[in-house]
Amino acid sequence: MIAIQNVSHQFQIGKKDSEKLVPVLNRVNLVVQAGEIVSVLGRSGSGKSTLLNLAAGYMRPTSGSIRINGTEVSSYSEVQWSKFRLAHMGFIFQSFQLITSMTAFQNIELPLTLKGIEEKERAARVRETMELVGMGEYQHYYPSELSGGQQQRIGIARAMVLRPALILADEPTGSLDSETEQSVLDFIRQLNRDWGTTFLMITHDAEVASIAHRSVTIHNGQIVG
Amino acid sequence: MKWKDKYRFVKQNMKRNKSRLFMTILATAMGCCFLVVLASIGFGFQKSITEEITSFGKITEVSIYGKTNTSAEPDNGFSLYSMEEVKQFEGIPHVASVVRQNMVSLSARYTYDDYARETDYSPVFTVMEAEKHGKLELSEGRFPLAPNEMLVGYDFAESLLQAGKPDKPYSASVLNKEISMMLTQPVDAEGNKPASMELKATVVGILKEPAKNWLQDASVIMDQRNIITLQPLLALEEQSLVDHYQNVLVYADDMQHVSGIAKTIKEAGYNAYSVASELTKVDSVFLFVKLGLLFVGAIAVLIAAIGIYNTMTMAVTERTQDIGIMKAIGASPSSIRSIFLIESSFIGIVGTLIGTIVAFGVSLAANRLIPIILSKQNESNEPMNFVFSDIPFSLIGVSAAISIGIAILSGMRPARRATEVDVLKALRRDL
Repeated sequence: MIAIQNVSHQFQIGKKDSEKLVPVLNRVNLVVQAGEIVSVLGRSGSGKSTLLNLAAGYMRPTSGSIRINGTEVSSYSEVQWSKFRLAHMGFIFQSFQLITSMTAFQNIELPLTLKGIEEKERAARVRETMELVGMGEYQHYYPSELSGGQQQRIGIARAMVLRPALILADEPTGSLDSETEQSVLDFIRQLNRDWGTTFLMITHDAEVASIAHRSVTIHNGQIVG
Repeated sequence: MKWKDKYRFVKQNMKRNKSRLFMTILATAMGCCFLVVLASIGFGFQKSITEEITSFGKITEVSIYGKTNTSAEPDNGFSLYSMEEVKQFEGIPHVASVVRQNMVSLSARYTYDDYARETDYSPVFTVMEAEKHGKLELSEGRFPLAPNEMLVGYDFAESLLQAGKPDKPYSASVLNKEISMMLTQPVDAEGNKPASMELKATVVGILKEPAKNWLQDASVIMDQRNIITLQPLLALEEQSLVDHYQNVLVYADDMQHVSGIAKTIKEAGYNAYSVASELTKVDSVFLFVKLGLLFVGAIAVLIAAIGIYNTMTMAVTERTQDIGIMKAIGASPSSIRSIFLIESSFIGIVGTLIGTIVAFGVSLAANRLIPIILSKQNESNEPMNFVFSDIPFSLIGVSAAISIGIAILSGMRPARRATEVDVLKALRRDL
């Protein structure tokens, strides 16, 4: 599903005359098989977020290759990435990243709208997904009217509404209390089991990582185990 | 992403800051209104001047006044035109009719019942069929078919005064009434008693009312064939008027062919004048005037465009996080760009619509109020036939194109900025 080969990334810091290159990832190799949940563990500044940003296409690697579903995506343009994301990927963010002026229904509907799906079909798919995440009664609620756990369920529903083969999750339980955390993790496991969705999950919490089929640890920009 | 959904997004976004949106639309409307009103003054003046020119002559008419000087002897401008020349004019493409008229040096006394009018001018003798095709307009009746039928001017009846009561004009219609005409030779230098001849003719048609209310038309138009009857009274130099004409007017079948016909006539060695060619000169002068006014008006729209630019830039800044979220889950740059362009276009279209409606109101008010104010200032009761402001469809089209075009242009830079939003920065934190 994902094949990251010899990927390195450097950040440029400082002004033009005195710019400095700071290496973040150094020849990273990672393969995620279809249907797997893989967690990437690491401390702050270890490079785990950069790895996910590269896999999501929010950044370009300085060198190396990233293949998703057999397609080389590391040199994709912004337009190519936008199409690719809609076709293959879903995203779960630590701080939910819901559009505050939209209702829960509209937030989940967003990927379907961007893909140009008809309104009637959109409504049916959003309702079905909301029921699936146990939020069927909250269609007309705005994010500010929902708890953190409920917002993350809406975030997960938005990630899965297009039935993507791959979901990239950034600290999906990072903003949740332990009780809500468990229900979100159960749900991720259920999605993986029932639909075969592949997860690449970033976390610093070993307990969260325990739901994964496989965990890798990243340290100073290198996979160490 | 479908257009319908883009529009839904725009609507949702615009609801966020209604007062700012209202102020931006208001500024655009004011700019557009100023542009339309300012340019409408140019259009109004042009319309008034055009109407003034066309009221004195038909727009499809080309009048011929003599031949161009080819010899040392100057042309006195009183040439006579033969039937061959008339046929030559008739042969020019797009000529609808060649009207030819004569007047003779006989004084006339017109009588009906005990009403009469004396004048030093003879009736106009013309070929009625040509007048008919030359679009001579009647207010009532028909064109004469026989020599003993005639047309009279709109004010002819009023020009007939009752015998002994010069303040009592004939008040009824003269249509279908038989008018007696006593045509008399001028007194010669030796004081011989001038010869006279009486003609009688029935009024079968009355000409259209003159375009200006201060113009009086008491003319009499008779069939050319009457010249033969009057031949014994005619001066020696007028004997040829039986088959020659003093005044020739060529009528085009359409206004667009007038200049071509006038050119052909000039090339054939004649002097030609047409109202249409005067109008072309007026039009070209007013084209520059209107362009100048449009340019000044467009400055107001440009100022409004700064408002649109500001509003759209603020909208992009406020929605940076939303844009970032949309891009993060798969929105294409073109979808993001078009959402903001639709918003700036909407501001332009609504502003233009409101501005144009208000401009119509201002134009209407100006045309109603300014004549009243001016006539009060001049202490005159005469109605002013002057259009101060005119808004033709072309002006609406041009001003709408300028206003909407500038609105879209001013939204382009913010729309491009929206597509350049960095996902990671917009989400305020890295994944």
